[in-house]
Amino acid sequence: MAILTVKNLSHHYQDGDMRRYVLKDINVSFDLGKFYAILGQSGSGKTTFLSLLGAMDTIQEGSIEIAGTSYAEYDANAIRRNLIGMVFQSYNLIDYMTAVENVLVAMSITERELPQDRKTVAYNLLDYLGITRTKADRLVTRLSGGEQQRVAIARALATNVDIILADEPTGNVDESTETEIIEIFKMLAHKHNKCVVVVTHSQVVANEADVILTLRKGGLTQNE
Amino acid sequence: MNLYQRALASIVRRIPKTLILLIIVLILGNIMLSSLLIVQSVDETKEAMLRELPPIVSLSMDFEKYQELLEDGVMDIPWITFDDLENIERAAGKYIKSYDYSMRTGLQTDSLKRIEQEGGFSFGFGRQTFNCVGTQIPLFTALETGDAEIIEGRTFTQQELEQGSPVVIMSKELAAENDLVVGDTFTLECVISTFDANFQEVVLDTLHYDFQLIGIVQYKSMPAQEESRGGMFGGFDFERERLNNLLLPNRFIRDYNTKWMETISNYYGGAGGGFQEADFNPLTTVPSINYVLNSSEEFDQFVRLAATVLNNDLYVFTSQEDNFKNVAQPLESMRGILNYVFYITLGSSVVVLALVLFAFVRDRKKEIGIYLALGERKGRIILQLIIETVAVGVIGAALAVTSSTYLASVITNFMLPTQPVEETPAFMMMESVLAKIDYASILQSFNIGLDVITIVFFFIAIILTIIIAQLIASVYILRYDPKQIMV
Ligand SMILES: Nc1ncnc2c1ncn2[C@@H]1O[C@H](COP(=O)(O)OP(=O)(O)O)[C@@H](O)[C@H]1O
Ligand SMILES: [Mg+2]
Repeated sequence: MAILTVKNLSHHYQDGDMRRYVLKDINVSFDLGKFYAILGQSGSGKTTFLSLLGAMDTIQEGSIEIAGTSYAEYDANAIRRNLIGMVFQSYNLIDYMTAVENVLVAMSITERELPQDRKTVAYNLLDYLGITRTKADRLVTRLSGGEQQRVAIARALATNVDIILADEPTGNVDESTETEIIEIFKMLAHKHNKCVVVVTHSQVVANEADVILTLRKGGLTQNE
Repeated sequence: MNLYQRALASIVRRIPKTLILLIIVLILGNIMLSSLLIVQSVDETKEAMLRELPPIVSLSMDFEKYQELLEDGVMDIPWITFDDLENIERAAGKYIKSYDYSMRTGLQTDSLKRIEQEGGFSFGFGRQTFNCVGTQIPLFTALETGDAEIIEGRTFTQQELEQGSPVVIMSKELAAENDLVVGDTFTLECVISTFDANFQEVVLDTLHYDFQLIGIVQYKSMPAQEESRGGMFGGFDFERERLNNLLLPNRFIRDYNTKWMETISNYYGGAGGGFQEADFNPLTTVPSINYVLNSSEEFDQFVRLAATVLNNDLYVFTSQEDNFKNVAQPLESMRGILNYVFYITLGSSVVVLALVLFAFVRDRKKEIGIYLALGERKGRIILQLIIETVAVGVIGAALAVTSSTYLASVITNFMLPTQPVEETPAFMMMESVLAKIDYASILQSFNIGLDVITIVFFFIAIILTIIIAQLIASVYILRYDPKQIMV
């Protein structure tokens, strides 16, 4: 069953007096337990599409439904804190906090029911993603790029949401780290039944996905 | 990491930002609090000094205006009359506890020995002159103000005052000089005389009064003034001269003055011989009418009412408060300046802090974007920022509390002259019942002290300033969206 359904989604940016459409009449749906890759050249609208999925931008035309309910019926903030986890190319961690504190921030913002002992959960989660206890207590600025991205993934998972959206999560890491991170996403989809949507321009990443979608000239097509 | 933990982490882990804010609050806080302190200390000194003095309002002639009238050749000077006093009493009686005035005359007599001045001044016709100071009520003004104290015997009775009995109160020095004790009677042979065309003395009458000494007073000494002790003025010691004063019932003085006037007037050829009617108004010898009020809080009400009833431009009401303001002029102007400084600093603090905090908020653009991306509400993000700045602000304010007392005394030393701008001459101090406040004693009782209300007021001012500044600086966040961190 589709967890996310995109219907007739179009999006434009104002270019002087002109509307320039970046997304045009997109229809697609995403299921739990699958790892999706969205391929596309730079400037093709990948980030725009993902930010609409992540309720980070306002929908102009069309709609997105989450488990059958339209985004329009929710407060965008509430979707972000309760229903979706986001991972970014530039990690976007809070630099004066430790790894575990960054995870705990997300846990304090969400309204989802979480286990009592949040700190233990956060440490375990980080450990599961390859961040040891000592590293978890380090300021994030003192971790490598790959480690920081793992922390960012842990933060997205900490609220125990079903949907993980990632915008070029391996854009800033080397090839072996890229492989490890992709393994994590695969595991999240296949072992933990999450819906994982990863935006990328890397064919290597796309090859690992269950479903590859390509964004071109505003349209989204599925590669068979 | 809830909101409070996040705020705490931001304060303790981003030290440079915290220090900048702390220093700014410390500087602004010091300026604000020290000016607040000085303003409040001036007010307190004034209140304390006025509290110690009885609530007296003096009604006296405006001598400059009198001079103008004379120069303009105005013949009928609008002297105050007994009717005026009755009208004031009738209209403003509820404010008045008592009032007194002192008629004056001089007695020429050799029956008493004067306490002499070192310079050896002498008055009149080679005969001794004693200043007579009249009294209207038993608790006369000098007693009320504490300027004189009866150390032996008693004050006048109502009956003695009404009848003008020849009963006298004198200083203990004068009594000792003449071997008199309370209860003694003594005869004064008083001479009324004038000059003839050749400037030779003509004795017109010799009167004999059998006085009884009923009380002995001790005068409070005038506050010490610059250089020498209080009384000196042009080499003449007014404070010493005061010891020769004879305190008598007004009625006695009034009768004596009438007698004197008639005698002189007869000599110059009967009634109207060079004298005007006003010269027979006993109130013309009275320097001031002194109203003791029930409460010093009613100065204004009393003066407004009494002045309306009196309706005479030639006379002015002066209160202790007016007098304090006169003498404490440097303090009052310092208070005025620092009052402005406080409000200007308060106002500019909002601007300065808003600019600094705006820079801080811009600097944390990414962090704020992350909170938004994680679904945090904008209001709670602003709340976190307010908690951070208020916490630092409170620490800064607390530090300012300890340093501003010192700063305030530095400012005071810098702004307050050690000498009064204009010194009240001692004879004026003695004559005016009000001019007992001197600059030196004001400076002495002026001290900078913190009280709880000031501190609380200051903290509220600082906290509100910071909250307002942070809210202004946070307007930026309101039009900020989380997508900006994605690129
Ligand atoms: N805020 C914006 N205002 C105007 N144009 C934008 C804005 N964001 C993106 N674009 C334009 O939309 C197009 C798609 O951008 P984006 O979604 O970031 O592409 P991608 O992530 O695939 O590189 C680009 O041409 C970009 O210049
Ligand atoms: Mg992009």
